[in-house]
Amino acid sequence: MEYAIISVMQNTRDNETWLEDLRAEGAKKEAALEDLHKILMRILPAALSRWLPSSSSHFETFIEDTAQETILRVIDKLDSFEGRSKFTTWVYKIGVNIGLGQLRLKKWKETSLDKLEEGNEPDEMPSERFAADEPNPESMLERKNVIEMVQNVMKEELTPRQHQVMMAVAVQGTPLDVVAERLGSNRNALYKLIHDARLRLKRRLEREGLSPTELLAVFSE
Amino acid sequence: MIKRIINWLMPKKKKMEENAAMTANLLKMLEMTKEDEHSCADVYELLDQFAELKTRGANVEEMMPKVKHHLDMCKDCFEEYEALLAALEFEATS
Repeated sequence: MEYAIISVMQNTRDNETWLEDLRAEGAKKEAALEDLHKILMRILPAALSRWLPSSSSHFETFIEDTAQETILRVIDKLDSFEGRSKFTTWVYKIGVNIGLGQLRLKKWKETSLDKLEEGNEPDEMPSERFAADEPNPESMLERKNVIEMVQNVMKEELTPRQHQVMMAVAVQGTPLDVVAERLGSNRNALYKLIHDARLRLKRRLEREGLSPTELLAVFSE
Repeated sequence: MIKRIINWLMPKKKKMEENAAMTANLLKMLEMTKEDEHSCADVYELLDQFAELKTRGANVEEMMPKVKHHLDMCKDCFEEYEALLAALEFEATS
């Protein structure tokens, strides 16, 4: 029954009406805020349960806190909504950004930046997307040479900060949010720093007459 | 000869496998690196539009290739995209 009511609420407000109601004063605004809260309490569990199982004792509190913080940010950022999507989709985007950000920090809070660079992780490997294949005996020495060459290039080309962030994020798969929090930075700035570092490494390899594709082949032989 | 080399390397095998995986990760990222890439902030601005188009069946990878590329490069943003898709799919089916 409640689901049906929420569904009706979503359909009865278009983007303009959401903005109008949330900018209003009094009962109109209160009703819009209440509806938004109900929608978030229904949607956020579906969006975030992959990262925090709904069976967790913290789940309900986490969803409630995330919903509350999302509403605060939505109100704060209301003027930045440009209508490129449905208003509720824009709200969900803010909600998952807040929720996943909190979960990442909580998961990695006991791990120092030094350990992140070394590759010690709190749970499982966070990223196996580019994991290398099992080496065969014939290619082991060749791989060793490539590994040493890449490590040397990193030391020579990157600033200490770039090296630190590259090791933690691009190599170990530590979330950008976590490294940013440790360094007093933000995700966007660190992505730009990593992009600059990647370009420097790529150009250096090109100057040496090497390409990442050729070097990668060593790890798939 | 090869056997002797392998025996010499065995104690270091695990560490080398880790280094090999990390180096391969890095080289894969360098292979995918482009001069002009969207930042996380750029992608955040477009993510709701991108996800909505995706759920409507649009060829969003061709329509917004820089967003797609960034999602391939940035695990944090990719996870938020996945969570947003899950939200939209739940909304559509409930």
